[in-house]
Amino acid sequence: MTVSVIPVGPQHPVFLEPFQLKLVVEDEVVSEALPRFGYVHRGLEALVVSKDFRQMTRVAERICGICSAIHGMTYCRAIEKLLGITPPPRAQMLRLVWSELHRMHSHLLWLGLFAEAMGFESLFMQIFRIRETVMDILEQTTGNRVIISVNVIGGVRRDLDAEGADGIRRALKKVAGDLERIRPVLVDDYSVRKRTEEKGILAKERAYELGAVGPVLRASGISQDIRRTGYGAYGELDFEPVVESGGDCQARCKVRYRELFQSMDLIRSGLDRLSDGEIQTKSKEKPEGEILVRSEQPRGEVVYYIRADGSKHLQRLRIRTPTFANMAALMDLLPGLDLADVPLVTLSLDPCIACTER
Amino acid sequence: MTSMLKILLKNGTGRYATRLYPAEAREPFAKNRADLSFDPGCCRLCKTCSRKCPTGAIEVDKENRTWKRDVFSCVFCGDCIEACPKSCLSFVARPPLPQKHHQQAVVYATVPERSKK
Amino acid sequence: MLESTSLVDADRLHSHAGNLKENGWRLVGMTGVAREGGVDLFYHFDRELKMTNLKVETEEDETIPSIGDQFPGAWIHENEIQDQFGIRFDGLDPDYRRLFFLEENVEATPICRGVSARVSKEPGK
Ligand code: SF4
Ligand code: SF4
Repeated sequence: MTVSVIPVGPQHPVFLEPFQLKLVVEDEVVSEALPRFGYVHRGLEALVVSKDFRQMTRVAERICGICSAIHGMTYCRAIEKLLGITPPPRAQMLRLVWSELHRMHSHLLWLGLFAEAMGFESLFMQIFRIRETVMDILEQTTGNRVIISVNVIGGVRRDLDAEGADGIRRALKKVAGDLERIRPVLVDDYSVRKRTEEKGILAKERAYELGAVGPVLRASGISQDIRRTGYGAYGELDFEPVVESGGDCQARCKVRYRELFQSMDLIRSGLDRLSDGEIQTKSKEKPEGEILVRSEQPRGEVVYYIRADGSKHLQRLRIRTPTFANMAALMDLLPGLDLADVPLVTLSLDPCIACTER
Repeated sequence: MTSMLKILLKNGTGRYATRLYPAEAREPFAKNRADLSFDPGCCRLCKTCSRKCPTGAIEVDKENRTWKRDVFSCVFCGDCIEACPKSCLSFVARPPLPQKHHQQAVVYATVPERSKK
Repeated sequence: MLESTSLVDADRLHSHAGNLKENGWRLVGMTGVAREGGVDLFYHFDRELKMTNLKVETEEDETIPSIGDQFPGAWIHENEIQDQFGIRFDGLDPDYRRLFFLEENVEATPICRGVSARVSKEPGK
């Protein structure tokens, strides 16, 4: 038996962001894995000392491009709680619509990359074509494709007119039809199933113990979704977390695929319940106190901890991002895998390194 | 197996999914944040925009009556637009053309003198 | 003060964490906050969408027991805290020795500068 150490990354065709896995390989089987981070560390948490708390909203949005709207929303919710203000119902609902659109484009991005990691280029193209519809509605309604900068402390800054709402409804119909068409490919195709089934199984108890979050946890059969705490406007809408029991790559794929439809339902009922009125509550106060706020991002639960002392600058901002929590699960998954499956299993957790390192 | 083939055949025979840019360009959406326009005529050089800007892209010089914005630092967040008490700033939907020299990446304006009332 | 937070001693941390673990709580994350002469460490736990926190007030140069044997996902949080504040964790595995995010030549603790080192007033610098 030959033992060798293979560095995977920091530049690797499957990992879109730089991070390194040192794999100890016996023949073709991984026996140990050690990650190395720090390639994109930007020190965003430490920026609180030089940017005031309103400017930090823009920094929070830029922690990660893919979950930008939800990062912004979570930060604003935390500051709003400290200030003791509540955004008007219309703003809350608009936040919900935009965050669910973000979740959709994130999941579509992941589905596409997952197909590409399998070597299924034409499916990747097809999924990115669907994603483009979602990006277009984001651009049409907010002005930007990815970092939409709609969240401000106290509400949102862009309103949605009836025409925009209709545009969203029409686009969702198109997306739903397109997604329905690729379902047989993702779920029944022989080569896709060969590549994903029984690969990287994360057992239910183990997933919970390791603190996995989001779709990874739900694919292992645990029904946990922070949106169920009813923050923002989520409390008004009725939905059940999407749960699969397999715990393998196929189950994680199915969870994200089904969540796309769940997001579409949420957006539609959100648009139907959109009330008229203000979209911003203004406040001149400065935040003071300590707070812990959680949201559900496309990749799972994000936790913001803020300590403020009533001055313009926050004292401490700490963000526990979803991939950070999932890393422990990933390191538990890798030993025992074939080397050829490592990229796919790593990708099936949807690692976002920019989030992890901040 | 056949499901992907069907999709591919449909793609092969249907319309193009992409545009033949630049021969065929789409109109930018009306709400696009593509460029920031500044109207020197109404500016009071109050520096609110430069204080609110999260990236420090705007420099206002009261003495020389100039207003400068570094295009490469600006992230198009729109905080300055909301902050300006005189509404001198606004978003333009059409993106600016590529520029040859770096100096042109700084929007530089001299604010005209106003007669005091 | 954070909601539902209990202040514990560093040497009692293990038994508190063990209690939570037995009752089915999940480790959500850890937060370090610098204060004069030390660091406040928060351990966040979650069970069925409810949160509870443990708070440990550490002195400078104090070594904290790792809870990695009770919560196998704790190593990543502890390694990050070790990077940012220079706190040592006893029994940490794998131990990156402050090379988790940082480079070899970094001596300083990036976030543990206390309130005094705060730069402010100048916008956007
Ligand atoms: S749009 Fe934002 S980044 Fe750009 S100049 Fe205005 S405030 Fe600064
Ligand atoms: S652009 Fe507006 S905010 Fe900026 S200096 Fe002029 S008047 Fe003041």
